Amino acid sequence: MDAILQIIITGLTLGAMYALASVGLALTYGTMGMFNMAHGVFMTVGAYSAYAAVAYFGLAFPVALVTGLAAGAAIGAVTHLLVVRHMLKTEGFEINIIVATAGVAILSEDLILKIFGAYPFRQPLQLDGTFRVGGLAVTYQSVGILAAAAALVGVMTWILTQTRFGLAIRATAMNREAAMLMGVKADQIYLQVLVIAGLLAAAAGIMISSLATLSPQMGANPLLRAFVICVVAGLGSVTGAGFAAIALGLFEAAIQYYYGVRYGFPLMLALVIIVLIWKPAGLFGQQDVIRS
Amino acid sequence: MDPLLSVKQLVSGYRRLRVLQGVSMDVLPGGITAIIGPNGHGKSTLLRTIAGLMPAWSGTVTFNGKELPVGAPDRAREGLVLVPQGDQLFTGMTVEENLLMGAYTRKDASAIQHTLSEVYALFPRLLERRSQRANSLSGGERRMVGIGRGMMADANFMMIDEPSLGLAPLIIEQIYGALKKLTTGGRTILVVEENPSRVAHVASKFYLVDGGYMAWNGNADDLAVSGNLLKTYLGG
Repeated sequence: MDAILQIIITGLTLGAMYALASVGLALTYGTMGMFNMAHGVFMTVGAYSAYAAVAYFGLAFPVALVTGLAAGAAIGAVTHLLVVRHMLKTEGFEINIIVATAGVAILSEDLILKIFGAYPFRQPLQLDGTFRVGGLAVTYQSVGILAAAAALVGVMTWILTQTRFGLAIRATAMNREAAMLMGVKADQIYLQVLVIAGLLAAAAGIMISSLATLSPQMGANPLLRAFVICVVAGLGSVTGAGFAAIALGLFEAAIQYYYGVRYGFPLMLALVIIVLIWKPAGLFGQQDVIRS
Repeated sequence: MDPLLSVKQLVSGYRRLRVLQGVSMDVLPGGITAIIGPNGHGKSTLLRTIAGLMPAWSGTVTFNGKELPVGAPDRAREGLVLVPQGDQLFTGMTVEENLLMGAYTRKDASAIQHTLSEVYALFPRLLERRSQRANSLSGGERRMVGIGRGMMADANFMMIDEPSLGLAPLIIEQIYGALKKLTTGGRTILVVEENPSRVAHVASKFYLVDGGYMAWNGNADDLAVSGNLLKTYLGG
């Protein structure tokens, strides 16, 4: 019983972080048809900014948290303004943007390495302590991660489904030209989407670094997982990405518990292959039939 | 009477391919104006350029006597509505969400509800299907959503690209009946139609586009006596 509870808590914590990491990626892909290779670096930037806010400027926990999120939003905006905006209307955008954002990722990663060095700093944003549930010690950190992820994903879902702004994002994702005919300024929507994706990625980055350590390449592994989750969910499906993230988090936690940590990721990839053989468009993806 | 929409020497195209070779036309307020002509000669390109989806290479478009801003979103905010070819619905949204997107630039919630009830009054079928996703509709219903979405901007002018495309003759009649009703409410409609016989009895002014030029224009009486000319262009 305790084992199962342990797996559920670890799995949900992992899943919550994966969800934060992948929902932004799915939103970007779904809205602009852009696979953002710099999404992992958005996480790194958020984590290091929160770290720097505490370590260099001695700011309080909540202020540092907000600084980290703001830094993620800012790098999203900068990526759009300096790179994406100029490539949107070019031929072969979907391929070229992968290369371009990979460039952004490499450049930003090296800048972080230059500024902070490769030393694996500890993320100072931590919730210390544990409490007991039955025979099980649960860290406040896990609970904090779960609560924060649920709140952020919840707010984003509310924005996407209940607000006029969200309606415009969904409209642009479904049919950019028609949205423009309704008066939606697609360029602004793209900027706002990258800001949201950057903010969510930064939150994921802060959480991931609080469980491991900071390093300039810390975004690479979560980006790969987020990509896997988006493919399993069906590229561009935002709610699908959320559910797939939780499911894969639980799956990975179970594998780690019963077979060892090193089998977690390979078996997750094996599961992905099985899912894709069975449902090539992903679990929540649909091959849209376009009728004219 | 001053024209509502005035196009002068408009040149436009795709990349290096020049499609419109200097097109001029005036749309007077009231009634239905039809752009007719064979496929692939620039009718849709003309509407897309007017709507701002494609940049004009040269020439001017004035609307309500004013030069239009650049780009489709800002033109839509000026009240220039285009119902695009093939509907271009937001397929994952419900019928009502699609319609509400048409009112995206409007703020007054009660006025939006009022227009929504007008759309449902014109197309009662849409009221039955309001919470159904757009991709589950029939071709005729999709067309109704497309036109209804255009109505939701509450503009006095609408451009509609091939409202009869891919529909059965009976449905085409219903759609044109609805458009006729809209003009009695004071709207001006500019419609593109490949087959002039479909619009002969509803439109009051006709422009024939051929090879990127305006080849002919006239009113309904002129159309009736120029059968040979139309046959030359459209085959018949």
